[in-house]
Amino acid sequence: MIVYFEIGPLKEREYTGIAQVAAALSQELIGDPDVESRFFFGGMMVPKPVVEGLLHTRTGELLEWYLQRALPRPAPADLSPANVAVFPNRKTARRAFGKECQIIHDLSTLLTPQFHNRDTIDFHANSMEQDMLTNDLTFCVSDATKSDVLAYFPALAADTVQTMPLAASIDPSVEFGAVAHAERYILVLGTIEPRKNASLVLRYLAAHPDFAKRYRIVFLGRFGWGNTVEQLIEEYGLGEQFAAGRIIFPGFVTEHAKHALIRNARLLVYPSLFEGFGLPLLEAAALGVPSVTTRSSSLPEAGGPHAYYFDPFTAGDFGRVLMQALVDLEVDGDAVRQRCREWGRRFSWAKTYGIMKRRIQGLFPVQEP
Amino acid sequence: MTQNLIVPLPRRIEHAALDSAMRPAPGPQAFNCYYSSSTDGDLGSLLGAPHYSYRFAEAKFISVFNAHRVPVNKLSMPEYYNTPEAMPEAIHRAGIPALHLIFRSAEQIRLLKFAWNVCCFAWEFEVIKDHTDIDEHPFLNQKRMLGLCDEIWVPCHYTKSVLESHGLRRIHVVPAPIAAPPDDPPPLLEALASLGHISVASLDYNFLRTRAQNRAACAEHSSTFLEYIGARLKACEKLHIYLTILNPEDFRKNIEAMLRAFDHFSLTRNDAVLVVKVLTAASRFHLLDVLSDVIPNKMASGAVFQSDNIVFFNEFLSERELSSLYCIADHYLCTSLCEGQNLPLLEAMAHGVVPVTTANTAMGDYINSENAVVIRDHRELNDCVHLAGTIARRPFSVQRCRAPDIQDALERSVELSRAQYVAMSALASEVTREKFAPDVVWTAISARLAAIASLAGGRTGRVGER
Repeated sequence: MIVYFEIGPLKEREYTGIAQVAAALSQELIGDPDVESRFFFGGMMVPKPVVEGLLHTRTGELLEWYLQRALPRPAPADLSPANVAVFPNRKTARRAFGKECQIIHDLSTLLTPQFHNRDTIDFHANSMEQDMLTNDLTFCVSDATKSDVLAYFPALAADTVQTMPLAASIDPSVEFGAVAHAERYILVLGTIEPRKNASLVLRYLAAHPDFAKRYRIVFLGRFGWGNTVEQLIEEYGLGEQFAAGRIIFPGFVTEHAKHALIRNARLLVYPSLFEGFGLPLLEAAALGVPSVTTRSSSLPEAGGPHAYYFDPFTAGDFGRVLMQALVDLEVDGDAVRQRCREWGRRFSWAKTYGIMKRRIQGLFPVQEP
Repeated sequence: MTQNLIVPLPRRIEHAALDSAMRPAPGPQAFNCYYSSSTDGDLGSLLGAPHYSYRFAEAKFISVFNAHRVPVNKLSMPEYYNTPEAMPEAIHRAGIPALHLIFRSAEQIRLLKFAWNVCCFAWEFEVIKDHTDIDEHPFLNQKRMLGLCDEIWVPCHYTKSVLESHGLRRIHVVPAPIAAPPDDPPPLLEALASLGHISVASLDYNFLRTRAQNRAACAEHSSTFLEYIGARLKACEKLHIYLTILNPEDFRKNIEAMLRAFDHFSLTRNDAVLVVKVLTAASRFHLLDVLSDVIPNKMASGAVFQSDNIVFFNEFLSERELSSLYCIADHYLCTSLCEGQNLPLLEAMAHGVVPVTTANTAMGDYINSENAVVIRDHRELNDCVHLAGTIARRPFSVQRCRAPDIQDALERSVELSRAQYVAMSALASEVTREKFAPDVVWTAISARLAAIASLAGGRTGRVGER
């Protein structure tokens, strides 16, 4: 059995989200002495040293450089029925390998098109059905995504759909960046776009102007689409707090910086309305930081029993739950943080990879001599 | 991974398989009832068209639940909730199964995965889209989307037969309820007075004029409803008021044939007027824009049209004012090629207004020559690209009536004797009471919910068979 792993997501400039998943699984594959692995991009093989370089530099620029210079070598390298391809995102080929597996992160482009622009919907949603129907195995990053897949694609056999929870990739050096007496701040994480629902927090800040006096509010994430930061600030009348630096939007930062910011935050607010998994919740838990989040889709699976959940459709619920979390931190912060860490330790990329490997091996029953 | 938190949900069919200990007593109260609304249904406008009719049907369904004190909560994003535990306590009784009514077009169906999902689906064409092309958005396939639901409620037997002919099952006719008119309908003059303030205008259109010139011409024919009717009453002893309520952007309504037929008819019957309530929000369209732009766009090129016997208005009417409008009408005119239920026609009939109507599609359930003046129509291959049925991407037929057919029916309607009219009027209101009264619909809903309660307890296979 040769595992062909499609590294399209590693062409991203920054490894977050799906690129982060593809990188972690590539790393596990390369480090697995029991599995022969090869890597490809679209229809082209990519040598392992290039992949290792990508995992080291954690940017897709190297891949672009390689693709511009390399002689095309078509993937798969051979047409053995013992080949299995793993597509960590949209499939770039169908029925080209002996077996084909795909990771489905979420059905949000199908189920919540109002949160995506047209190009993204066309790119992901339109190919999804035929992609999945040609899979031998479909991995879903959460039970919620799995139940969505089975509910909306009933033609798929349930036993070919496997939950494969993700894990947090935390650089241990982040702990060295812990600042004991950092100014208290609340971290609101997520791309600035409607699905991530930062406006719910802004609405709360507009209604409770004193809150930003007690805590600085850091909205961390790049701009996606929809209202710009300036428009949001104006819409909610938060110009004064914004000008005073009580509400800040640092934009995109590196993974390491992001984790350092999570580590030192009082708590993480993740108000997203729909997710496939919710990695930031797991990252916060692994760093001992409690999260205030919604019960949407997969988030309770990533946030675990110790996250604080609110209903974004019930007026006042966010403020109530936020206060409850802050009070708990005041009363017994160490216990809260300890519970978070324990939850975070349940997940690892080795476990994720283990699930994937076991199911892929199951596609090739051992022949009796 | 999170067994302590999440009820394992390996397959939606298994979610709804209720533990026998949790099995409710049959009836609406045995469910946590939710609905997803067409008003939250503009999910990227896959089809690029609004869905007005769902809003009206939805309001009527919800009102009948409310009237029976069954709480039904609106979910703006049913896909948000992965498990019952994610529901806010305020709207979810633990241990009680969930029912989810979906008032959306097929591509906008979103399941509440742990609920029994009922799609309240209106469709009036003989074909649905039942295939997905390679790399086409899968939700555009109506058959696949409807098949995701546990059952489908349709407003008429025509739709049921169409869906069954496409292989869909578990389809039940549960129409939107039609409320009875008030016990104390306003006397004619009072009804007229209550509508007197409404701005009305006639259509005066000539393709050789500019849009501004046409608008100005229509403006010259504008007045209040009271002024208009008052002037007409001065000119004749008895005024025959025909009423129609329609969205002028809806090509099913056959508006050009209707207007031409009425114009011809009223050339010899100056005692007949057609009042057209236009279902375009007054806040969005000025009436003069509707007349100089929207309606002419539905007419053949080279159109020239002017009739003082036809007046239009698009102001919002309260329930009471709408009832007054029905009270002053002698006839309701419907020239549609097809209808899913046709709520305004039924409301008019409930008020005893005698319809002049086609009897195709949904109307086949309740229109006959005893209770209506039936307009002849003819089955023909559809040639209108603007009908929603074209999303099926194959040819289909419609029952089209032409202007002479409509004029013929109008002539017959005005010649009805008083006794004939009274008998028809009584039968028109009787059929709405028998088939569409809120209590009748509630009985049908209750029966379905009782059946669902028992089905959900014992089923082992997927119910929405494909």
